[in-house]
Amino acid sequence: MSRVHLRFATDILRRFGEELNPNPDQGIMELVKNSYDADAHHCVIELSSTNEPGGTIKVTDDGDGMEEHDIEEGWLVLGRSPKSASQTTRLGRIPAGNKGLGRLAALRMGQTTSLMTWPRNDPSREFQLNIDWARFESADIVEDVPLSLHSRSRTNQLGHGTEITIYEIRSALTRADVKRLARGLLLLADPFGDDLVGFQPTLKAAEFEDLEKLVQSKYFNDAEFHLTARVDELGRASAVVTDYKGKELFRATHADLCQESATETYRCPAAQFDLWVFILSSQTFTARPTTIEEVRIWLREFGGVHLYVNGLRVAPYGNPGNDWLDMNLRRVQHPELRPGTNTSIGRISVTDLENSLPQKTDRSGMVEGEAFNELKRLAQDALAWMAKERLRAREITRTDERIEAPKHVDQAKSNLSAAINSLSAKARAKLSKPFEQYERARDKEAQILRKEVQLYRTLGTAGITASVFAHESRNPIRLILQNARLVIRRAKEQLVKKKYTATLEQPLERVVRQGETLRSFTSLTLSLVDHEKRRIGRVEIHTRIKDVLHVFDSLMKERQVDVNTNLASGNPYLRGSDAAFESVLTNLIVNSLKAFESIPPGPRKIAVSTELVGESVFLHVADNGPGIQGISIRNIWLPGETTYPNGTGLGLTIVHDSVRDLGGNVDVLAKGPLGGAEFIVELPILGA
Amino acid sequence: MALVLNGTRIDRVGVVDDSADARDTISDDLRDADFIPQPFVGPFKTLNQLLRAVPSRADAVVCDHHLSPRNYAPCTGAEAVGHWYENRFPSVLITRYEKAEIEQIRRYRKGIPALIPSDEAGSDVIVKGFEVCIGEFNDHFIPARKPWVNMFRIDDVDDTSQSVQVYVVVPGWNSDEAIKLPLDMFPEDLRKHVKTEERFFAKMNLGAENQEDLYFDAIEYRGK
Repeated sequence: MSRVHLRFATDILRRFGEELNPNPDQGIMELVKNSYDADAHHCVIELSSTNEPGGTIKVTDDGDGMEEHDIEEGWLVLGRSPKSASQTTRLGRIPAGNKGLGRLAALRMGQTTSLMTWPRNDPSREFQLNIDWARFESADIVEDVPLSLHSRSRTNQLGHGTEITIYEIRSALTRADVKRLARGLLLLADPFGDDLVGFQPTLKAAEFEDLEKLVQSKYFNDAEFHLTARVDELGRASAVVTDYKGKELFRATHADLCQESATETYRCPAAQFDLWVFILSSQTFTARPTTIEEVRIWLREFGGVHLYVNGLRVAPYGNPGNDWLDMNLRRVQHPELRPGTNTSIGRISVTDLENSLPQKTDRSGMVEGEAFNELKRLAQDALAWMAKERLRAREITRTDERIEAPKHVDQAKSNLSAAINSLSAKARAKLSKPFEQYERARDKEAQILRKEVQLYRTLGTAGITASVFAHESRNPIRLILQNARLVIRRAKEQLVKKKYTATLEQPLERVVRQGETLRSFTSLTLSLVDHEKRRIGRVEIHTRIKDVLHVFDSLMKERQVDVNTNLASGNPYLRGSDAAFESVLTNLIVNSLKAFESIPPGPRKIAVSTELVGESVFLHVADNGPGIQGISIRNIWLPGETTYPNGTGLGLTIVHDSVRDLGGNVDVLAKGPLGGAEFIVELPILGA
Repeated sequence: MALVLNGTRIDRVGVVDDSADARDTISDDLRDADFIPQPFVGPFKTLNQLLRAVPSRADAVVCDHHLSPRNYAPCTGAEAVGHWYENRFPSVLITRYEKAEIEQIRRYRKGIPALIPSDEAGSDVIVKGFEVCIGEFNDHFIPARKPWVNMFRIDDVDDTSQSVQVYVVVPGWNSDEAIKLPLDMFPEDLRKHVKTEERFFAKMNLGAENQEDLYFDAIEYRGK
């Protein structure tokens, strides 16, 4: 029997090194984490001429350094399983526990690498190790390249720590790499909280200094709300929201937070979620020393929710563009109540002694197992709860304001009257008439607004009622149709054909025909209120047009309207909700149908077409109705303005608002190509 | 069955509706009551065309209020019935009896003695409508339709939308109920007096049970 071994080709170094860690900053961060594990207080990263190949990177710390055994059995061993989290370091830190692959990537960034280390436990010695990567490239297997570890005695015994120098880097570090590195270093050890872990790496680069100033700004006191949610070791959660003065606004028990069931626990390690929410309006910042722009820049750089496991940050959570809690998506739906990554900053701090939150080998985040998903659920539940509480509070404020507003108006009015009465008779006479005119105008404006609100509420209620009735009508309609067909069948079987044709055939056919019409109207109503259509996502313009026209198909036939569709080639799409786009087209079509009622009978035509121009799609809806008459074009978009006796005057207002929501513009020609009005909707698209 | 009332004989009944199924349904019902239904298929380019066409082929007419949605005629049934009434042609109007529709019809209401909800539009109800109508041609008014000159007060004027609406109270009918009238129901030269608390006079059917049946005819202003 002969003894053999698995051996590794030198190619494996590249595969596990640079290929698994594509960004240079990621590798350097791993060296910094080694410094943290070595109980360093300071860690300095120096970049010399790294803006071009050939430069040098030096990472120096004042940690515990390494002895010969540590280098041989630790630093030089790649891919060993994470260190046990339960074994804390001398300073009580939980080791970051990397597998050494990021370190390998960093060390291989240069042609050669040098390690100098001064162990704390043996101040009389220093160790040096040089790695020339070219030797590995010419060798077949890793073990073929011997490395020399030099041990020397020290006379000055100036301190302890480790210095790693990467010489002659192969690729230049771009400005983006350096900025990413600076950001990563600054955020690594939670610079926001008060319980600092006593570790702060420093990068000697201009980008770092700028960002460092920014990160130290800490505008937390300008936050409007501070949410703190905690989950304990048993998975029971609680939360509290305070205002900018620190006054408690809302408090949640586990049952309030946990939407699934109060007995359900969060199956994740103990954690705390802090979120500072800002209201970036000039009104909020008027009386503050900070400017809104300063906070905006700060949030742009550091906003979002960062994840800290055992004291160190885990990328990419909270990186620019990383919205792992879907905050921005929900903000789109409730902009007043939901924070986004540009209007809030936060962190989730977890103590994970059991390693239930393992990181992916390529350091691109956490393995998304149960504990991670539960942690995410906790944060999302806390955000949802806060939004609900804020909604509730807002409604209470609105009600109070409604009650208080008339009192304030009366008070202001009596103050003004008193001031006028205190003037001379001549001045009083001069002022009293314009004041009365002003009062009348104001009352009229208030009356219009009240009417408008009432109209929206009434239509909202009508919509709800229509959808309930449409839903409930489906069964009766089905039964009417089934029974009518049953009667037809029996009558045909039991009556002489001639008698059936003369007396029953037509009335029964009418029942079936009208039943079918009713069924199509029910579908139309239900399709308009479909919940899914209000979700924000990809809106395919042509698909939506075809769907809306299909829904209107039977009504168009009944109203004898010929619809001509001419869609541009391609599939233009945008981001928004199907409901917003369908509101536009539906209201324009209804507008045309209404217009036909005021002209003499004759051919009725609607043309729907699209054209693609640059980054926009133009939707044209034209008809051969009477065009816009009896109202100025400017006024057609105003709520409540209508030329139809029973019109609500809201259809075109909804078109205008929906187009604006989709980021577009709408225009109208009083007389379009078909002789009636033509509406032209321009919408920005993402692609076609 | 021919209907003879005060010397007026009705055999052929015109059916005016923009829905073919509705025309055929009413026609079948009238046929079952031994009338000769005369469905008018349309379309009619003008109101006058419709007004002339029907009396040439029928002795009376059943007319739906909505005539324009389905490309049938450029007017409402209320307008047409109002004109036929003035020309002493027996007519009844079928309507959905919705509030907004009733308000739209009010300006023609004096000339619409029989307003029939569409779900009650059977031949027996139609016949009763013709009776009321022919009665009025002979100055025999049922209590609910008899005109009285009476005062009404302007309660409120809503000028916040394109068409100004006036809310009036008729103390001689019901002082607790405000009735909505479009401003253009008032003669043009009187509109300047339409202000809250102003008083006007009109011929009204004070015996009407519901405000849907009230009409305002010959409106006048007699000063403060």
